[in-house]
Parts: sequence; structure tokens; C-alpha cells
Amino acid sequence: MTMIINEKMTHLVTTLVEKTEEGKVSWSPTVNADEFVAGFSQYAILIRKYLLLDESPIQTYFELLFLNEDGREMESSVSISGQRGTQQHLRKLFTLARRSAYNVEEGLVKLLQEIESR
Amino acid sequence: MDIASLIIGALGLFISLGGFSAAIWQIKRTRTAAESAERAATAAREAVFYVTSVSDLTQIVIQMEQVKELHRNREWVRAIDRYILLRRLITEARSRLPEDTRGALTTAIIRLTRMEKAANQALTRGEQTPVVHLNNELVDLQQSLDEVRVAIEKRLLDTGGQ
Repeated sequence: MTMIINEKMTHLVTTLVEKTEEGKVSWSPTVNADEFVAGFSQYAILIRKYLLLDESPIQTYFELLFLNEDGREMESSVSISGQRGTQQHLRKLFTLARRSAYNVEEGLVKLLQEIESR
Repeated sequence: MDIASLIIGALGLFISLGGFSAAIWQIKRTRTAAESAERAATAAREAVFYVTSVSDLTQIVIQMEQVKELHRNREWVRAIDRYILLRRLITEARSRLPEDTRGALTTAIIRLTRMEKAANQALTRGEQTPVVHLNNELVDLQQSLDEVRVAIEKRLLDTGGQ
């Protein structure tokens, strides 16, 4: 059962990466820095970044939360230093989520247009 | 005599076939009318849901304006109570919407739970949660709910036009 859920969580991450890149899943920021949420009809996904400040060098890790429609945590996936695959997938998803939440692509296009028109 | 019987028999068969065809045509007509009536009833029900949702979302956006004032006055207990109310209102509004429009409201609910946690921390631990930050979050939420409201109004108009 645990293996099945872990596999499904991994599949969820790779699917979210793909759909976010295609623009089919959009993310929003939350009140917390480095935290983004994507809502669906009955569930939501939240991804956040943590810094372990008492490590040297400072370590970054990512957490993906699978939430029900009321925001209760149903399952989580955490990248731990050493688990390179998970770390890379979650890092990529976090970057894509951030860009989606802040409309980075649209912002860059507008900024370039403004600069080039000068 | 034989020919007369044949003619009468053929006529009878012809009339029976005609009657049978008429019966089938009538059944089809009735079924089509029933299906149309069901479609019209579904459309009417959806229109009621949409109108109610538009009204709900308008109220929610107004409530959020009041929460901003509570933030400015550092009235965290009342603000937290309002978050709970807002989440309940959004959950109710979401239940009336078609599935493809619910995602934005689920996002709003999650963002409110994160704000509630931040406000609780401000209240219990005296942690600094900038009021500006919380109110900017509410502005964002108001905008996103307005977008959902506009999408529902458009759908309502499109449905009414059919």
C-alpha cells in the first residue's frame, strides 16, 4: 500500500511538472514566502521550499502536500538531501509553480517590449 | 368474391400499418418532447445555481473588505472568525458550481487556511505578520473570485441565449 502511494505521488509530481509546463495547471502564491498552491475540484496541491539554516552549507529542501478540499493534509512528499531524483523533480516543480504564480513569462514579455520600444 | 376479400384484407393491412406507424411517430414525438423538457429543467436549475453563486461571490468579496479593516486594527480574533466564515461561504458557493470552475475556489480556501494560520501565529506567539502582506493576499483573492464571478455571469448569459 505504501509503495503504491509513493509511486502515485511520484507520478503526481511528474504529471504536475508536465501540465504546468503546458500551462494547463496554474499556481497561486500564498501568504507564506516560497509557498504555492494549485486548486482542483476536490483537492489541492501545495509546494513549499525550506532552508535549513543551521546546516553548513545551507540546505534547501522541498515539500509537496496533497490536500483535501478543506485544506487538510492527506499525504506529503519531501525531498531529502541524498534523494537526488526526488529533490530534482520537486525543485523543478517548485520553479515552475513560482513562475506560474507570478506570471513570470508574461512579465518578461511586457518588460522586453517596453525596453525594446525605447 | 375472392378478389373483394383480397382487397378488403389488403386495405385492412394497410390501415393497420398506418396506425402502427402513427403510434411509433407519436411515441417518438413524446420522447423528444420529454427530453426537451428535461433539458430545459436542467438549464433552469443550473441558471438558479449560477445566479446564487454570483450573489455568494459578491458577498464574499465584500466580507473580505471588512477583514482588511480588522487586519489594519490588529483585531486578530475577529479576523480569524471571519476567515472561518469566509471558508464556509466559499465552500458552499463551490458546491453549486460545475466541476470545471471549482479549482479557483479550492485555491481560495487553501490560501485562507494559510492566512488563518499566520493570523493565529500573530495572535498566540506575537509573531510579526505584516498587515500589508495579509491585505495584499486578500486583494489577490478578491480579484480571483471576481474573475470566477465574471466567468459564471458569462456562462449564464450564454445559457440564456440558447
